[in-house]
Amino acid sequence: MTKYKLLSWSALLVSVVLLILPRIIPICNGLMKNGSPMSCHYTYQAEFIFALLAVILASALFVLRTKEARLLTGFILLLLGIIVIVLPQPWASGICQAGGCVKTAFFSNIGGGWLALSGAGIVWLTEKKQSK
Amino acid sequence: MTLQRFLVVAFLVFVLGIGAVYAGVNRVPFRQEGAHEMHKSSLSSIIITAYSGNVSPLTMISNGKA
Repeated sequence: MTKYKLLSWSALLVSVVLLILPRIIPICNGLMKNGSPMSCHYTYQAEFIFALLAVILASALFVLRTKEARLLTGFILLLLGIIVIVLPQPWASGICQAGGCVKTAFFSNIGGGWLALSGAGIVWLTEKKQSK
Repeated sequence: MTLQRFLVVAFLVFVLGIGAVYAGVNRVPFRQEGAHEMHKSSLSSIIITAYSGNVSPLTMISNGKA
């Protein structure tokens, strides 16, 4: 298996894990006193949509043939990984101060970092091949 | 797999995912009874009542009626 394939599979795997993460490690499922969901609910709804996009892009890595397309896909995966880390931050969408979502955020940050590294790795590999 | 076929499959997967968000399949269902102790709204009930209705909170406080 080439390094490119390995990174593509790793990006796909982590995207799928990010997609189902709130099912494996649940976020807060209670409602606030006024009946509205907590901020972590909205954060992880957004994370789901970004993870869905990451799954599609990571699977595209197996179909794309040109170097430019692979480079751009890897770069967007890198950006998506950063978005996954940024969303639970209090200055972005945020999560609850204390609750189950803190644990989910810990693992989603690891997943986001992994996705960003895979994207960066794909960019670096493709760039290296192009310059040869 | 050709790129065209991939795009069709990717679009279907995306629509399916948005459907999952709509149906709430992607998350654990809400607990209906009682509020989470750590996450009670910071607004007091008197202020919530004042903002949801047309009553001024100042009037309610001066009258002493909620």
